[in-house]
Amino acid sequence: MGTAIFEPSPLEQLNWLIHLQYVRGEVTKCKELIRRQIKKSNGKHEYAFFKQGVMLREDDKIQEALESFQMCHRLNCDNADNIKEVAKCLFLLRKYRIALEAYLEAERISTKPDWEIYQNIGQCWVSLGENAKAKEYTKKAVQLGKQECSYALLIKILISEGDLQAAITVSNAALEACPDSTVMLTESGLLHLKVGQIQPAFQCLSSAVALNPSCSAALLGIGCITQAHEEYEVALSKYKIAVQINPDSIALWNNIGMCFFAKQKYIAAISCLKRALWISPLNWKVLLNLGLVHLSTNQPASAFNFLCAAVNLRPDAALPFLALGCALFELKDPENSLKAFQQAELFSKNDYGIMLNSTLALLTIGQHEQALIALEKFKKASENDGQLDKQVIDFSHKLENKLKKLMGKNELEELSESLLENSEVTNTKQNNDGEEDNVDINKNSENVNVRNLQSDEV
Amino acid sequence: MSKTELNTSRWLEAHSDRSAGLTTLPKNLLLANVCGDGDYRLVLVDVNFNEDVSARLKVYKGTMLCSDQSLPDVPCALISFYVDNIQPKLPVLGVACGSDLLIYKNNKPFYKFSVPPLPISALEEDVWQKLCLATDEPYEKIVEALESIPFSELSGRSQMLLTLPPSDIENYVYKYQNVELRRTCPITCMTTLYRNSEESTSISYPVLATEFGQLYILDSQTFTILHEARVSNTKATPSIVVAAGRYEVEFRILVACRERYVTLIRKNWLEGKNLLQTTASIVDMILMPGDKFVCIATSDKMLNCYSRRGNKLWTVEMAQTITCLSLLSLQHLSLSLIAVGMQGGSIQLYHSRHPVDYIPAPDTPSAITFGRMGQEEHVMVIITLGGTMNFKILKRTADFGLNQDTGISPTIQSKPLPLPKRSKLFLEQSLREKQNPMDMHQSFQQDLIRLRLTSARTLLQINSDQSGIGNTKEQIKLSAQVLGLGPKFTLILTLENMNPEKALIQLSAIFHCNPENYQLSLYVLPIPLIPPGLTYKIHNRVVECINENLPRDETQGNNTIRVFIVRREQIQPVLAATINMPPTDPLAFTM
Repeated sequence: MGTAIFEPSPLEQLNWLIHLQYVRGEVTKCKELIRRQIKKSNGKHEYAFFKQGVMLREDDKIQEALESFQMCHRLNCDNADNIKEVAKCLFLLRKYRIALEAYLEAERISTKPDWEIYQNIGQCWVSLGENAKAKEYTKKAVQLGKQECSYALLIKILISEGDLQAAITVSNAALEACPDSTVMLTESGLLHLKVGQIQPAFQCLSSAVALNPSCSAALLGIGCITQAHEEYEVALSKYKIAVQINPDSIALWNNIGMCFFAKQKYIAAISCLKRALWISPLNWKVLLNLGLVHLSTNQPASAFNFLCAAVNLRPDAALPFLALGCALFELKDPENSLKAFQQAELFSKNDYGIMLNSTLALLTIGQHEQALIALEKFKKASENDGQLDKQVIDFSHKLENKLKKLMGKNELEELSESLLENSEVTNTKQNNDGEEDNVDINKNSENVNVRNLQSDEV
Repeated sequence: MSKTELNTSRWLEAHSDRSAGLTTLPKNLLLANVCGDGDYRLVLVDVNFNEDVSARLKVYKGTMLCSDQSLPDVPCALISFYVDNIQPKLPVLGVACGSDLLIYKNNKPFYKFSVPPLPISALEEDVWQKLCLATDEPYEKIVEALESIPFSELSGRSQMLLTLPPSDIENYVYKYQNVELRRTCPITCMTTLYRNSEESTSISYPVLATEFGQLYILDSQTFTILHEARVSNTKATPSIVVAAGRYEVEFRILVACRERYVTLIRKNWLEGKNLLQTTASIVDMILMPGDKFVCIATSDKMLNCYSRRGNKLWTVEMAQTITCLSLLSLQHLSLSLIAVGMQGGSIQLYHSRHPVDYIPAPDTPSAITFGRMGQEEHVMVIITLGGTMNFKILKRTADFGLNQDTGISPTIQSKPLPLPKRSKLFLEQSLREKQNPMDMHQSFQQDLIRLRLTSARTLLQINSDQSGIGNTKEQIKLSAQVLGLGPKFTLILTLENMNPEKALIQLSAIFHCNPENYQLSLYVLPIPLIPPGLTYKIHNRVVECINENLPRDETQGNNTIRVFIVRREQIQPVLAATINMPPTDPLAFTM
């Protein structure tokens, strides 16, 4: 202060103030300061332009932000940060190819390896559909930065490649780096669930719920596991909380419906499933479940409609065909039901239910030889299976007896009588089927859920 | 935490002055025994952000302003520290203004320390030498050389020179002819570090960090640099610095940077190590005493806690953007709380991740400090963005209910599911189905097939029907009507503009037919403007040429008239239609 002539202060003098006002959300003040600084410097204030760009981007004025960052780059070509920001704007403008080039340029210029650049290059490659290259860069980013977002990206890439085991390994590593992230805990839990590791899945999801009691995805996962263990009340209580947070989830309503179905509250089940169907009218799993519920309430005509839709939407799954066959059998159309069973057999591997049901259909039509062959096939398949369901064994014995009798006498009257008897048996059989499906479907719906999450991210 | 406990505040409202009109940034507010009389004063920097930015250093005794002096520039940080052990112990104030650290003792300017200047490039030095020697070469030529150096690597003087209009250059150069060229380096943040004892009145050293990533530890008696280090090995601009430990034993200095890094510097380190990087910009950072956790507030409303190794321990999301943090050390409870000032005017107190108290503020707090003020042990001073000065005293009975079992958050009440009531109709229908499923199924299937048939039929009809043809892109619809029995017909075409916004212009209708079969009254018709939503009718008289020589069957293949609606200077027609003319009734013709 002693000198008479003040040395002009450098431009960077108030950079800290620009930054402070920006981080504290005092946007108007900050913009004013930036405007003044740019004016004072005759448009050569790099940092002011940089922050102006950041703020413009936050206001969704991406094109203007891009221009601001390009100005920074013109003022100082050696700063990798400027190129990074330019690239980020380009990425947001969906110009992935140019963004990628910009990031590669930033990588070349920056003196030190930067996880953020690698992560963003990975993101660009994902957007351009080059998974292999994306994986390479994302792995680098994970190793350097250990950031949650890099882990999440890598998991996404691995899932899209179908490598669930690797995805689980990555998610476990991610949880070590950021143990408090509910998103990562849920992600990891759902991954474990997908490959059928129930115990770790339950642990992950429980800790996610403990951290954030209103994490609907984790609640759904926990509900699913408990439902699979036939603790329907517990599952329902979880779903009830989750559905308040996320009232438009197909998977939630589907699973609530199946819980009610298991508790034999059919009307509640139907209304829940119909709500799921209303949200997503083309979801074949919901259609299949609705079909099964209607079968159990002795409404085969409605069931037929739902199952028909399910079969049309998913013509390569066994379960809808099996259910459709049952519905047709109920509707006294054994020929078509046989066709459905045979179709189901094509897509399944030694499903006893399908085999026995087609035997029954053959028997009802009167093709006894064929029925006998089908029954033999069933016996062969079930020979080595120690854990055969008792109901299945009973049913197969009944079928066998009936068949032997018929083969001996071959009289019309007897046949009609046996048909009546048998159809009763099938009824119980179908219910049983339904319950088995229930478990299956829950798993399936879990898949739906995971898919939903992914689509949300996109 | 019971409700009654929440209602009775733990704080006494001591003073609130809404007309104080203060603009105080965080880190510019502290409580210190600046007069040495044991009466702790409030010291703050009041900045004026109008056209001329100016700042004043103010000292309050209680609520009374007792010292007010102007500062040369906006300071980024204010510290107080003890420089010696002479009784009575008197702390000095340090204000970081630009590249200088101004020291005030007893409210009077005492010393000025300047951060060592940065090296100046040879080229720049050369330019200034040439400028000062006043050669024949025009100034503009010499100045041009400066353009080749990146702007941010020039001294302030050269930066200013480049922004000047050419006419002022001579004066400017003359002014600085005999002054040494310096490239100063602004200080961005500052803190203090104890020398060899961590008692509150023991000697401590100022720690400065600069815009270009240098960190200096100064001797508080001689004001010489004790230690100099680079903040990080990457490009990092310090924005907040905190220190713990003792300089002569072992210390840790954490520097939060604008690039979202937090770097660590220990004793004898010449370069900082990147400890962690946050995902959003860092608003404020606090080092927790004792357990060495570091709490970082980020601009995405998060309060994060990291371990000393840089592992994230927990995160709490706030309801509002965080504007400032302050540490509340309550030694009588052996407790350290974090006060989180948020936009909208609320302050939450956190004990690790659990909120323990809520304090309403007049408006958004800009700076908070907590400590001894006057004779009172626990006072919180809040300066808001609106300029309010607010003092709150913590009641002696306040224990923040930590001994009680605090429910972290209320569990969400599980309401019953919003299921619709079973309607009578639904039950009746399902009963009906149960009684007679087969008939129902069969009639349904029959009806379904019938429906499909009808729809297929309709589709076929529409396809063969040419009375209405449209162009969906242009939103034009053309329908035709043939009147008469022949051989004279009237063809009425209706052109409809379906676009609700744009009028149709520059259209013409062209009729095309075999002249051996038909003769038309017009072949080309320019269509006037059709306003949105309106129609235009074209009447065309058609006379069939009865040619006795031609067999009837053959002419039937040619009884069509084609219509094209074309736009000027466009090759493809906007719309094309074929109109099948009815055969002339031979009976009517003969008559």
